Amino acid sequence: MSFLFPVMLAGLAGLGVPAILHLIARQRFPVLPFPSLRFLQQEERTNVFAWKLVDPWQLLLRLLVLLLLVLAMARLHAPWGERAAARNLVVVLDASSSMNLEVEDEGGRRVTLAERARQEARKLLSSIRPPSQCAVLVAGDSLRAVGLQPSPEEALAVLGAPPASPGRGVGIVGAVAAACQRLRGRREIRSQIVVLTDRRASAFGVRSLKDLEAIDAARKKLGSKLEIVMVDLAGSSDENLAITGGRLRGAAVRVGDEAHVVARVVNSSQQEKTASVRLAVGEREEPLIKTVSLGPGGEADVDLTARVDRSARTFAQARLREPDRLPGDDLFRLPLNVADARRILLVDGSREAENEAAGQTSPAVLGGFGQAGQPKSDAARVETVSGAVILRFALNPGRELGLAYGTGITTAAVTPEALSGVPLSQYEIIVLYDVSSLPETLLEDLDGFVRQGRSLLFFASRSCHALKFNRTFAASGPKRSAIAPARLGNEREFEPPLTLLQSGQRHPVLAGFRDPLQGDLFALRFMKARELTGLADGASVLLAAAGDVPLVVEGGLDRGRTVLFSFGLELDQSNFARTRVFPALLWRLVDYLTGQLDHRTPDLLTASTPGVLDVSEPSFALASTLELSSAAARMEATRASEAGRPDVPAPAAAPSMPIALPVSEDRTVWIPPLSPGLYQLHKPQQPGEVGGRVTDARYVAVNPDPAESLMARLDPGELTRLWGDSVRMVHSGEVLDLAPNGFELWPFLVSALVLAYAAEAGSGWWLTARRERQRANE
Amino acid sequence: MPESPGIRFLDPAVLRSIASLELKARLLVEGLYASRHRCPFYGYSVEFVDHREYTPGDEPRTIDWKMLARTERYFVKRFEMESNMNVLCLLDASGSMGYRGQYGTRLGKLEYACTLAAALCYLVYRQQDSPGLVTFDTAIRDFVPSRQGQRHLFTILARLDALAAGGETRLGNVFRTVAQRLTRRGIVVLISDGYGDPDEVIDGVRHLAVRGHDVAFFHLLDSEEVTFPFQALASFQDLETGVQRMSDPLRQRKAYLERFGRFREAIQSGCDACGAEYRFVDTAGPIERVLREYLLYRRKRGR
Repeated sequence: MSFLFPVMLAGLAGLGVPAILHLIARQRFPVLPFPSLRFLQQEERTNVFAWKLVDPWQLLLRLLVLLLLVLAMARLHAPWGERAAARNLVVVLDASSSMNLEVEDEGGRRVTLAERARQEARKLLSSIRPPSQCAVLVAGDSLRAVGLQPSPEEALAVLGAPPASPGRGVGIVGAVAAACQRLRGRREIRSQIVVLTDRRASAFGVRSLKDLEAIDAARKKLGSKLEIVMVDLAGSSDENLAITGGRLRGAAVRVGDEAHVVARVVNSSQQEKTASVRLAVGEREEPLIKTVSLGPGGEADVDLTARVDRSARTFAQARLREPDRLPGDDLFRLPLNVADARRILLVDGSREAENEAAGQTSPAVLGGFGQAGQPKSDAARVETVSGAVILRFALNPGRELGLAYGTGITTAAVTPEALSGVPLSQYEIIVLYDVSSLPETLLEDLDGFVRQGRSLLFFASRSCHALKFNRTFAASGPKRSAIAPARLGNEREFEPPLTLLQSGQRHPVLAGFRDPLQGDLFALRFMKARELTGLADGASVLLAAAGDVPLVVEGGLDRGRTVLFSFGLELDQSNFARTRVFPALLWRLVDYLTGQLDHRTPDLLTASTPGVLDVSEPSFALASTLELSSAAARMEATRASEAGRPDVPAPAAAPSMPIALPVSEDRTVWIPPLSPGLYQLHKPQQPGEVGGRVTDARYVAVNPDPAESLMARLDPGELTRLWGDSVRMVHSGEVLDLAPNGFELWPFLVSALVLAYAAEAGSGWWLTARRERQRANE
Repeated sequence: MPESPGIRFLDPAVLRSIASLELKARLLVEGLYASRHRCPFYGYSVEFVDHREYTPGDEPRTIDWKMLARTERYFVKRFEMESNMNVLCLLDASGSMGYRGQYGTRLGKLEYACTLAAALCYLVYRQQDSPGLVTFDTAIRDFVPSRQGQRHLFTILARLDALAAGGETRLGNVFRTVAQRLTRRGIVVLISDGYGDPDEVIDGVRHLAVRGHDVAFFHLLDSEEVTFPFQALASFQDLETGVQRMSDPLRQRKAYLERFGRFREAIQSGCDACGAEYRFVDTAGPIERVLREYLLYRRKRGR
């Protein structure tokens, strides 16, 4: 037997009061003045402090009344019988996204763990009878609760609402702490917190000190009456293949090249599994399916490619071909920005170009460049291959070699004589390789070309006539200014070859080229280089050799840039073309000149987790508020608008969209927790505007929490470390066996109390009457 | 016009009830003035009483010649002379006389006694006798000798008005003192509850009686002293000594009444033995009835 309110037993101290009163009760008599006491005798006072009990039976009855009252108030409980005792029950439903795992119920039907949890909760709630009380907490994105003392119907109504969180939710520890708060002040023989969960470690990972202290306080207060029951719904169901992450390989994706999406596939099963992954770009699925075998607990990165034919802001989705029992993590979304290819016009002024143009050499030598095992007869030729050829190869080797991927650069080569027939506006960069002179009209065109924000590269190797070059490019004309950033001098030979200056190479183009594995600038050796003098106003040295010898000079002309290389790419000029740095540096230089050096990382967020996005791009300039909409809704609206149906309502899946997001002073926006999906960040739509131009919107991908895909389950020992003896684990079939047995004895105690009180009152009356009779007789 | 002190004790109802009555001396009284009371002195204006044999020296005028003629022996006549009467009220003003019953609105014992004394003094005054007053507790407080006159009556009333109960009772001592101070025989009316040593009380009464005074003892007690009607346990406090005694009335009532009866019998028998007249007065009874019955009784008994 036990007491539900043991503090009331302190009332037993009051049992001494009647006994003491019986011993020391002294009557207070009125004082009556009387003429003479000669005829009165002193009465023997019996009610004085004497160690003698008066009316012991009445005293016993009074003590019995007090004792029964104290026992009733202390709520004596007897654990006998098979009737379920009253209890306080809080049902906590784990609504994290791992609860979407599909399992089979007793009837063989496939249900999610969340649905099974609701079924078990319904069973529990239906078994509750007064005076037991219950509450329901749904631990999803937030903690939703039905307060204590609902009717089972109210609680079941809450259960009917879909509670699933797309993330790990508020966590089980927080929910148990909230449940402990609801049990405060409630005293029954058992206060139970029944957690219906799959026991995934991720749901228990969210812990705050405040929650742990609240649970600890409840344990101390309720002692053995508190029981935290973990009902394991998942059982042995822990097989899952998931795509837990994704990224783009390379800095950017360009038209004409291939987008490489690397998907991280995880096998959380206990067996080896084969995962088939397919990529979709926009709404188009790629035909290629990649398959990978993963051992138990294994992970792998799967490289998925898709060719992109036009520039667009779109998205890529990596998907497992065979959905498993937890389908929410079988898809990974990734925003994909496909930039236009950079077009470079190479004006080859070298003698080899002239010869080639004259048909005196074969361009087939390019096919052998860079390949191992090239024939010896071509080896000497390789040493003297034109730098322009090397340049073309380096800018887009894949294209030149007919490989699958490229750099997003398309090149076209002309001779200086053919330059006048080429529309310059089609290109972002013009490379003048060993071009010494050009007609003035072309110079004016080049001047205008640069001033419009394009770029001009000069390579000056052996074929470049310095005098002509300076007269043409380093001097201004009647309708133009000087184009070259510096004056070209004579070619010099260096023995030993020049190395780069060790310090001071701070140009952004050069960043990242200090690592021998990535490419080390300091591996460059220059045997020949032209002198560069007379830097133009605003020009700066981009690359310098030891001894402050300028090798590359950069200048500006209005909105455009000009770069002058003092060396060619021929292998007798330097080993530049032989180093790992060479193509990467060139690509970086192209990115720099075309304003694409800094690539924005894709906007990837985790479900149910807030995030911050940088919105400093020009398209969002001056906007003080942006909007976040469901991408599906906007696409549907755009399609409808294009089809002449502008009034298509937004999909019900995103009823709260669009969300207005104020832009902060540092040009960032705070994104609230979202469900998995694709969203678009855009300027607020004007009335009547539907869909919006794609170029003004940016995709934001929200993917499920990868931790929810890991089937790692919380060790029972960890639960015991958290909550000691208060916690125990049961399986779903044992849910209805959790009710304690027994009953409270207070109804019997109160009945006995009433009888004892009546007996005490009756005995008191009888004793008084007897006393009166005695006096009367005397 | 301010009321004269003590006038309040002259209850018109009481005076009315005794208007036709007079207080006559039961015994021979010695008054200064010729009045209606028998005087032990023989002289003129006296009433013939009897003969006695002539002895040489008797006045010849007192010889009854008719008796000589009849008997040829010489006899003298003896006469009683009527004189005014001294009436002295001895009023017990001890603490026990201050008792006023718990129930009812009747007068307290002292008030009752003062009213009784005032009525008697007025009656005496009206019949041209001489009223006097002595108040006492353990000793004499006030001694107003018997005199005639209205002014004297008012003096007595003023003393009654100023009277307050207090002190203990010692009747024997007081009676002896009074007896010594009284030079003429008269009526002594004692109004007291008699709470003292009964032997002392009787001894004191006897002192007065043997000196020839006509003593009347009004034994004045409150109804509650007589019946002891109390029910609840109480601590009874003596009005004279302040001693408290816890008592259960229900348990002690019978014994109380027995002891009280014995006390009263002792007083009464003592008075009877020494020739004093004993009157038991319960304050529950109206004063006029007490006085009227007393005066009628005396008239019936008087010669």
